[in-house]
Amino acid sequence: MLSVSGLQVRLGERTALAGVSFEVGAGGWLALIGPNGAGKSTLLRAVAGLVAHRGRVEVDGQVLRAGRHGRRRALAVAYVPQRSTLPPTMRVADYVLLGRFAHHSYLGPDTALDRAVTARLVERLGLAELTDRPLAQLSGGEAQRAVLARALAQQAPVLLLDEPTTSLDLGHSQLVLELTDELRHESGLTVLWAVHDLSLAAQYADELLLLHQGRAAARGTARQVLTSGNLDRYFGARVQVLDGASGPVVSPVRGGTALAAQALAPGGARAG
Amino acid sequence: MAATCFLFVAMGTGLVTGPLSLSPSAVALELLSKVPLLHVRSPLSPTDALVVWQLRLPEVVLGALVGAVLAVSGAAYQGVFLNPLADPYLLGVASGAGLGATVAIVSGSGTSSPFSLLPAAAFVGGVLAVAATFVLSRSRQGRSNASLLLAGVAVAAFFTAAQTFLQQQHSGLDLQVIYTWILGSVSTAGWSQVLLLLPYACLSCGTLLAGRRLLDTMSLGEEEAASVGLSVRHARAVVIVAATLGTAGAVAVSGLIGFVGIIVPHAVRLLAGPSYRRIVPLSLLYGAGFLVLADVLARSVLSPQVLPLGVVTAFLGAPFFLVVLRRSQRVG
Amino acid sequence: MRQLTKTLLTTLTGVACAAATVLTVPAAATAATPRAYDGPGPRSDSLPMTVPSQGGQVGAPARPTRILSLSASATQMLYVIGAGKQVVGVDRYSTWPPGAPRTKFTGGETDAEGYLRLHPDLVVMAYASGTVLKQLQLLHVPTLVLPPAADLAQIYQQMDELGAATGHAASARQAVATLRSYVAGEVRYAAGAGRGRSYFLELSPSYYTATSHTFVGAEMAAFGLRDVADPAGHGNAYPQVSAEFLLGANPTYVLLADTVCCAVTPASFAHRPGFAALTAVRDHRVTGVNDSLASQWGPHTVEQFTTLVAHLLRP
Repeated sequence: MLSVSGLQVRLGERTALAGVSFEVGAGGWLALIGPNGAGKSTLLRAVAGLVAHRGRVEVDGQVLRAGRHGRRRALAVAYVPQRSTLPPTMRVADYVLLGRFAHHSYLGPDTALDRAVTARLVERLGLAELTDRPLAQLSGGEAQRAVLARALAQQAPVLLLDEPTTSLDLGHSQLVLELTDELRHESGLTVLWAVHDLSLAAQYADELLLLHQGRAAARGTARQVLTSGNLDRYFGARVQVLDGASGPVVSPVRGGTALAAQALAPGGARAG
Repeated sequence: MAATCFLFVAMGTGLVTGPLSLSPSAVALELLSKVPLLHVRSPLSPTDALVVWQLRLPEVVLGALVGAVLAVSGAAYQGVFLNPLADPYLLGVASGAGLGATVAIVSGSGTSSPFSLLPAAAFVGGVLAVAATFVLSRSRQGRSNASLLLAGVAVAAFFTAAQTFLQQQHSGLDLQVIYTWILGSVSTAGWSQVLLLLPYACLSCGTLLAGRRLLDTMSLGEEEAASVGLSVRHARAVVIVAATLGTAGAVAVSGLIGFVGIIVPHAVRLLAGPSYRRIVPLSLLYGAGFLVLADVLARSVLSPQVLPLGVVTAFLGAPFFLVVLRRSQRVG
Repeated sequence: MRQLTKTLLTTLTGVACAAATVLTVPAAATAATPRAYDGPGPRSDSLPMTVPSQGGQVGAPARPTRILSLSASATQMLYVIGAGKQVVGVDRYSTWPPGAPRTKFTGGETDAEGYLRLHPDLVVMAYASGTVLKQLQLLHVPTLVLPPAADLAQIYQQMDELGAATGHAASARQAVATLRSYVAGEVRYAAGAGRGRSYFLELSPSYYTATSHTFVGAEMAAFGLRDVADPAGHGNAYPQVSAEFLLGANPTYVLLADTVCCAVTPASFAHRPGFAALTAVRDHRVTGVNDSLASQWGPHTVEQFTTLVAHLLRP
């Protein structure tokens, strides 16, 4: 279980997060949505302990101290960044093994458990044939699965995903998300997911948290949060919310305001 | 396995090579004669036996230790700075040790033992130079690899200038001693140099061997390394301290021996791939063997003259280095 | 981060200090080695140095029979004091006497094993790296280090020293007396012509020179000549000066001891910019000499050099 209260982050002069609180139960999946600059990535980075922050972050009742991005934090939360650094010549197996860093002593060797965990994940994520490949030779989808495997190797109860599917086509996006969904049901993994694609968010997450200017503007199920009113007010977007089979589907409507064009342009419109 | 064999062959070659022609079997019997319960009789004269035990064996062992330390430190520096051209002298060890050695020689000249303070002074100089680099590299944005490298360049330039100034002020016989030291040599008398280096070599190689996973993890970059539980700054400090202590110890007893720290890890990379899990232990074995062989060459090419070891390693190293460079350009 | 830096520095400094202690111990042990041999007459602490053989008792056997000389100056001394028959090898720079058994050794070896091929029972050297000295000690080969003399008295002392070490003490005393009177004779011949005059000795075209606190400077000083480089020494016996310094000092005589190494001649010296104005150039008092005259302090070289100087002063 992940519990965040009063989370504040200042980036230079700018207040990136102005006191955000929420809870996600074990096995829960919360999607963070919001316009660019709303603080989604910052929130993930704060929970991962990668930026200085104020407020409380608790995992399974254990408070994660601010500014101590050490091994204990890595045992509590695993993080998949928007753009991962993939050392081009490193082999997939070695790369996934890096996720085990927090599990053995600082200068200690890899244990049999480390290798077993990694091997199982490699198998689970369909990378078994690729273990000896250098990362540079992987396709986008394979690389993203390798990153996910590395993060899951941490065996942390909380998984933070920052736009993990941005560079993937639809099929590969679904593959990664379905895998995540299976894993969270199998092992009670708590997932916190920053995502631009509102329809994808609606389909996979249990609940959505809408961030706006560093504050939580709305929280609830997709149906509760993804209203055309909210989307107009917080995204400056003119949309039509359709009722799909597995949740609401957000579809942009032409002739939106100049602000809408501006707000959506950098990420690109992503109607499913 | 192949690496261990290589090291043993190199050390064996070192033991049977020298101006005095001692047959390999005689040397082997001499070594075995010291093993208790074996009752092997050595065919060597007492003086020849002394040559084996007090000159050749310590020299071979010292060469192996120095080679191992330099190669492992070189690999570590390349990992820390994510730069294939990094070598163990990158942060100023060489210039600091050079200044320390010069000070020892200059201030000790005229006394009965101008040489005895040299290792200590060189070691302290080397460590101080790296400490200075570390302190100076701190800028308002913290400490990046780039600021460390730049501070290293500045510190090296300063220490080298101070060393040149001292040398110019104390020309004469001191110059030759300094020059000989700078060119590098693992010639040794008895076991004292080996014993001096041994603790630092063990500490340094031990830490870097155990911490070789740090180097792999660091290649994720500062933020992702932090997300798996590694503070890059902390690990960088650990690796730099370990590599510096070993390198300073090696420089103190053997002077400046270039290129081992670059060519050995690169050769190992070509053989065994990019993971430091394999690069570090293999660099240790191949580095040790390589330097022992280079020393054999240095002693035998123009025998009885002994070529400076730094000259031999650079002579072998420079062409190899260019090949590696061309390869990496083609790949990159 | 600051905390980390602090810890790091403390660690580094601590280790450095500890290392200094550890590394110095053998040094102290070396320094404490008892001197095996004490030559006759007053001696400075730096001169000469013997390495004891087994048991640290006596430097050399009473009469060594296989001497290896790795110093051209020591070679001259050995032959002059009558120990030539005991010499089995000399370094490649020992050009006098012509019949000495020359080897390929330079005396700058960093490894002593090669010396053993000659089975020496005494090694004489001018410079020695700490390693070579310790190796010879470990191999029980007695060694005598006779560094460049700083004055004439040290030359005489080294000859006495060699005499005692090779079993020729009496003839060494005799040779010293002969050399003393030879030098005195040359000084008498010059008849005070050097008094009040100055000289510059060029060791390299980059203006390395020797002050009067060297054997070659002392030989010049015996004639009353003043070394213009003395004020530039600052405790360094072999300082580097500049063309401008030389123009300002304007010595009466110039000796070029870089004719072999660097092919300098009095004519090429005179052609350097501005040097036509030097008194020594105008008066034709620039003389080229063999480099070895300024780098060797054996009795043969001292005789050659003092004769040359005497005839320069009184042609």
